[in-house]
Amino acid sequence: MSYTITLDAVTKGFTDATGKRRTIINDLTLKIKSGAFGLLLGRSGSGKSTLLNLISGLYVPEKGKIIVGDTEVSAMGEARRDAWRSAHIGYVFQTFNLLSPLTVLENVYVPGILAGTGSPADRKAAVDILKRLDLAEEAHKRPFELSVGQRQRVAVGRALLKSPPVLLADEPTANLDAESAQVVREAFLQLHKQGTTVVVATHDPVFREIAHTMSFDVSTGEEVQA
Amino acid sequence: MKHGYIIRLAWRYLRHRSFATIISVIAIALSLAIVTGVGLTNFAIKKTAVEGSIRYPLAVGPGSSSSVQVILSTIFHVDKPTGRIPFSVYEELAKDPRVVKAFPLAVADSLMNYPIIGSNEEFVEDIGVGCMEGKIDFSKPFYTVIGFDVANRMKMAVGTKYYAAHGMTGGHGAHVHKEMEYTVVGVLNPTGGPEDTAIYTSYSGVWLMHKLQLAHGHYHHHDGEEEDDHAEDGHKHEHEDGHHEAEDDDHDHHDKHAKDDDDHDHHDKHAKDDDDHDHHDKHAKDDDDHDHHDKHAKDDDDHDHHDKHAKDDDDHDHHDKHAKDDDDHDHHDKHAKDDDDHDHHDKHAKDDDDHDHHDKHAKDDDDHDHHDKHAKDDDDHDHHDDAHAEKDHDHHDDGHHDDDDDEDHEEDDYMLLDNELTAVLVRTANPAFTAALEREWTLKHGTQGVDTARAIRSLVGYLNKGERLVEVFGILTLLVAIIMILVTLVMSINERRKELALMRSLGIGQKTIALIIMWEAFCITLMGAVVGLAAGHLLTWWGQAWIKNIAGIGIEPFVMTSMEGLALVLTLIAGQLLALVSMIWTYRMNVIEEIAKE
Repeated sequence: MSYTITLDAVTKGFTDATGKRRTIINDLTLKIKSGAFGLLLGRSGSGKSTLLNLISGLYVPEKGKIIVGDTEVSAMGEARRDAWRSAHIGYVFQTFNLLSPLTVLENVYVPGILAGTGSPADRKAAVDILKRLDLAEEAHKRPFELSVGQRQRVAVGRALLKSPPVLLADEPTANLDAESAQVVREAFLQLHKQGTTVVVATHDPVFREIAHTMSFDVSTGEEVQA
Repeated sequence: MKHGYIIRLAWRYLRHRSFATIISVIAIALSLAIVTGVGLTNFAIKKTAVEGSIRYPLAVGPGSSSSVQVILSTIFHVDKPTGRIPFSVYEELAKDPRVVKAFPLAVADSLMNYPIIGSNEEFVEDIGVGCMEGKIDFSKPFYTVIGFDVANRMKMAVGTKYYAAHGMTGGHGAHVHKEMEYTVVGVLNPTGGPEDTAIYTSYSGVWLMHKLQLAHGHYHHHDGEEEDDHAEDGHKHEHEDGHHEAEDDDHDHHDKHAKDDDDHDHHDKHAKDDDDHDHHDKHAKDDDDHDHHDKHAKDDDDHDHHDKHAKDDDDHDHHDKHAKDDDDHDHHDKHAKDDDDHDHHDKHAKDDDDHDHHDKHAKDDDDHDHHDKHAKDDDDHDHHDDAHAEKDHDHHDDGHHDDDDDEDHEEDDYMLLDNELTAVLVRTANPAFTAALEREWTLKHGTQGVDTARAIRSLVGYLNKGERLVEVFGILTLLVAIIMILVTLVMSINERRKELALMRSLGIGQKTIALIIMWEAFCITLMGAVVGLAAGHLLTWWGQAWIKNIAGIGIEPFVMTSMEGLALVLTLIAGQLLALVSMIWTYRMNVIEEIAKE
């Protein structure tokens, strides 16, 4: 199944605290092919995160269309977008990826159950994934007991378990130690190899060293050469 | 399956902010515990009252007390008996063909708040539970049978000897009947009612004890040792003085003094004003005495009194002042007592009205006119007495005689001597006889018949009003608790905006999130309800001894009352509303915006 991501003349803005309208993304057209490892480049505030939220259907564009595979995300209602997202999208944020009252292990498999896509049987797979991510010892700790790098690895573990058709990540390696960043990158590459369409908004130059990645300028939507 | 995880996550969130959760649970629990406790107490009061009224449909007590007071002192064994009735009341009732059984009660002393009930063996046998140890035996004057709780808590058993305190309050400064010790000859099986906290003895023993106390008291008084004996407490000190005063009023004493006054009331007054020679001796000396104030207080009072009745008012201002005082009588009586009291000024300081009065007199002291009046009073005893006699008659006619008597003694209600009882409990042959006897004894001089069932109905009616009030308060506290929980929930939702946004981005739907919040609200109210009901019952269980002691009722702490059922239903409904509100709150909050805040 194809999961090509297409943005067609998309505009999205917000009203800031002073009541002024600020356009973040203006008439952007962009296409990321199914199964690609896409990197979104651009200054801070250029709209990378907004773009990810538009693709995932968390945001609805003011103008234009967003199509993922054969689904026009921008045309669906909120509940349907929630359902679609839970079935197709994996998400890794820069920080604040975990539910604070759950343990590390639960954070890997419980959100899937609550989203309606996972099952309690995922627990076993979650244990394996934590082992691979060198988090076996932390399985029953709570997020506040972990380092920033460990927390990010848990979020990646959750994405690995879900193995979604589309993985979106927002600065997943920022503020991480080199080792944790490497674990995150390798996990993404693994998903990419399994056929997941990966879209990462990042400043991390190491991502660009990964073979077959495509970089896009968020302001123009053009593919840029490394 | 998914739902299990929803509840699990809700529970985790509650644990995550355990402090707020615990406070919320306590808030709900508290309001429920209050309602439960009051419900149980009310239930038990009604039960005890109804059982008591079935057993003894009629009580005959002093005319001066209210029917509820008679009930409280005879059936619940709480509250002090207010006045005396002659033993002949019992004898008459016992002979009455309409009466199945009559039981004399002479209640005047206590042991650590446990009332000592002077009656006869029959009355104790009538309780119907029998002794778990020893036997019911009043063959000797100071033999006592004690209730189950008394034995347990005072660690008393058959053979234990003890001293009792005069009066019902016991505690510090009360006169301890060191004259003679009581002996435990039996311990009753538990009844769960007021009998458990009562001590039974013979009425003749109670009389004898007080006779001995009087003899003893006199001895001390003249020895000037009473301060040692009667404690540091000035109040009690007066109380003791009161005893001596009381003797003058006492019929018995009266007999001894062989006063020729046939009228009791009159006599009582005279006891104060005239028979107290001591007082008059002082009177004579008074005008030049440094004790002037005391005497004036007394005299003026008399004077005022006199004025009133003789319509001989020289001093309007003065009169008005007195008119403001509660009751001339009371005032008068107090002063009468105070004359013997070297603590007079203290007494005045304690009593605002009296204090004013005193000041007024201080002023009057400079007023020779006043002295003249004073002198006149002294010289004019006959007139004075007549006025009093007249007044007493008035009172008598008004049916206030016993109030007089009561206030004369103030704390001497407990001074029971030969042939005096506090009440008689009566089992009648049928309700018609109860009604007839109630009427007859109420019409008789100095006594009143109390239809216990009716008195209890009025008591229960009153309790029901109180119950309604408590229900309203319970609901209000519940409301406060609910609002508090709502605030903490909304706060926690607001604090969790980011987390909720994360859930959304992970594909967890709005409905699921709202369900999590709803479960949190529900769990809090459910825990509050469970903890509250448990706490209400446990606290009642824990406090039942205390309640039995002060209220004379045995509470069954683990009975479900209708009140608590209502409270439970209301709490759960409130919990659902709470859940609904928090659900709506979560829905209308656009958590997605949170993600944009980078």
